[in-house]
Amino acid sequence: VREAVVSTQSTGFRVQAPPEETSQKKDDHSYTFDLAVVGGGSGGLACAKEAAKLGAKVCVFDFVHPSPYKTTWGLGGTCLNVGCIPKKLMHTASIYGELMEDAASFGWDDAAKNDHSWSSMVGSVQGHIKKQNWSLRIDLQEKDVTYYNEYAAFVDSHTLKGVNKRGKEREVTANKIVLAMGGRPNYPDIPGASEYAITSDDIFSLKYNPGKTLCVGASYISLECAGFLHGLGIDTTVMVRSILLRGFDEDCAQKIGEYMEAIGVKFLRPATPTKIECVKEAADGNPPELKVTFLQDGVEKSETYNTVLFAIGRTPLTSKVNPDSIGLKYESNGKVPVNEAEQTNVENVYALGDIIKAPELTPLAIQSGRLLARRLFGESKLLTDYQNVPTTVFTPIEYGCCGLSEEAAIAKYGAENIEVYHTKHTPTEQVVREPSERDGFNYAKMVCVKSENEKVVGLHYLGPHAGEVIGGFALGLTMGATKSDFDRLVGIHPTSSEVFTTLKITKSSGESIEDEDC
Amino acid sequence: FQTFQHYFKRINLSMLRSIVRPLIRAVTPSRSVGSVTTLTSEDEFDEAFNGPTPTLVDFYADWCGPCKQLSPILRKVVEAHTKEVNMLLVNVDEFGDLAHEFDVMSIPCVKLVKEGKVVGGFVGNKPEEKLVEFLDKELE
Repeated sequence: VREAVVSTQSTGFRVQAPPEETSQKKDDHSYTFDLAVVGGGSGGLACAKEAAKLGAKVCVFDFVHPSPYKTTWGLGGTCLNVGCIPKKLMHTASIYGELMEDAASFGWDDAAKNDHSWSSMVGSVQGHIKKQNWSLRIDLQEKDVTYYNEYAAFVDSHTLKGVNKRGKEREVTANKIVLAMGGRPNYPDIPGASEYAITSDDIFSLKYNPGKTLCVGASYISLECAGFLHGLGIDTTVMVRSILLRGFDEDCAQKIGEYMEAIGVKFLRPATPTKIECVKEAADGNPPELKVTFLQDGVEKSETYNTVLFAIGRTPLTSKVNPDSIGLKYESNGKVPVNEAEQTNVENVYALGDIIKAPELTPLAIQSGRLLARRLFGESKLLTDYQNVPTTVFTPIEYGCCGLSEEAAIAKYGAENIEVYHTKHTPTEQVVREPSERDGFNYAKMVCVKSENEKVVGLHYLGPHAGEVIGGFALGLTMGATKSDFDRLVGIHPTSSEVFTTLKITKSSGESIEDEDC
Repeated sequence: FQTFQHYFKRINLSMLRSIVRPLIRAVTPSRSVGSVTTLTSEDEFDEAFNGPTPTLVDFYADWCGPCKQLSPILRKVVEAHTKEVNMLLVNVDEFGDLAHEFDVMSIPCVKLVKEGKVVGGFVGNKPEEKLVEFLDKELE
């Protein structure tokens, strides 16, 4: 406990006070902390704070090694600093551009789309992030969680060694250890990649407008970045090896690709980059000129871009935590296998968040962090439910979903046992705007199991406000709602969400879902 | 006259300034003008913290509205004060460890330091009169 410094008495000090040795511990053990958390992101912080609330003595290690582009950030993990938050903000910025175009049809005559200021947007976004970094740090202090801005690794199963940015080391012992270090973006093994290209680690704080950009990858990260860059008026190309959004519903993934192409995002597919060279260095606030050589259909081609962004996958930081010293089991891709209680093969070591095989989503990490803390230090026995976790891809046409994709449902229940209801829809907000290439893509789909009373096992929505539409309906899926439950529900009009209360046409009937006539 | 003109042509405004200013300074009552700097390294902080001149450490952040209001007024008060006092602006995003050491929990946070000790301070934006009052009292 630190002494209050704001007083007229002289209490100046320059040395960090160590945690008190005499404070109560939760269980009978001789370690300094009841819980040490490695990783100060969504999952780690939620776990640490919940444990502290339950009376445990907790510390959190968080440290960000700069990216190859030398970007670094503060407390809060991927979501706050280089993920969900800046992504959603920049996606929102690009949607504003679209809405300004549509505003004219609503009578805003002067709503011409102006030039977008990249640096102004980055300033706003980073200002918010830094404010949150600060708040999180203060929050930990207020909740009596010790925070070490150090890179931690195992010495043994109860001892962690932290190293700060000046190389100073500290050893800490803990009864339980939770690993929640998350992951970092992958770079391909081709010349010039780490020297000249950037990743999602860097785009959200880029000091200059990225200019003509190539996004490599078919992940949601690649498509979301390409989407908002294009929306901000930037010449954007996506390079894809095969299919888009692997793991997501194929039908919807395809429609997303078609929409992005329709609005002008360029696609190079199938293609893979083989080399990146710098033609002109970045200077005076301007981006560099990079020559990208790639193979498309077996033919070698090249093109010049100002920015190349790799979004080809992420790897958990498991290998960096010295896992072999404690015999921690982990897979070649870094994922740590855990049981349903997030426990690893090492009895007192747990893992959650992006480093385990589960949907890599902030609310899931937070939920599992909190429930784990309650099981370890409280009376709870509640386990995290990893089924039916809803999510949204914030591409220019948003895609929200919960439950199984159509393919996964067919694989699980058999094609004859699946009934798919679907429809196109036009949100009322869009009926007045001028006809454009954006029309005709809004779509809703419900996947049902015939033998279980048409129980709804998958919900899919393409259109605006996808997260808001799907979020509430996820409750229906977790509670076992059937098609007739949805039919009995009275929707709100006029909204997009009501589309799920009036689905009539099945895929199996072959009926058209197109608008017939005016 | 030609010689006079030749020499006078070479006298320009900046030359005049460099003659007149010291003259004015010599005849006006002296004022201890403290320095106002923004911290660039932790070593710089140690110097200010341990030094004999009282220093007002202004912990701030770029995203903090009240900080943006307080800092210029504080600077004005520091520069106008008759007693010598320096002002040191510390960006908490850059120097988070320092802010943590000094228990800065919310900003703007101002601490008066001198000879290795914290001798006073306050949190939050304050009107100019209160700042003058604070400095007057603490520098007695």
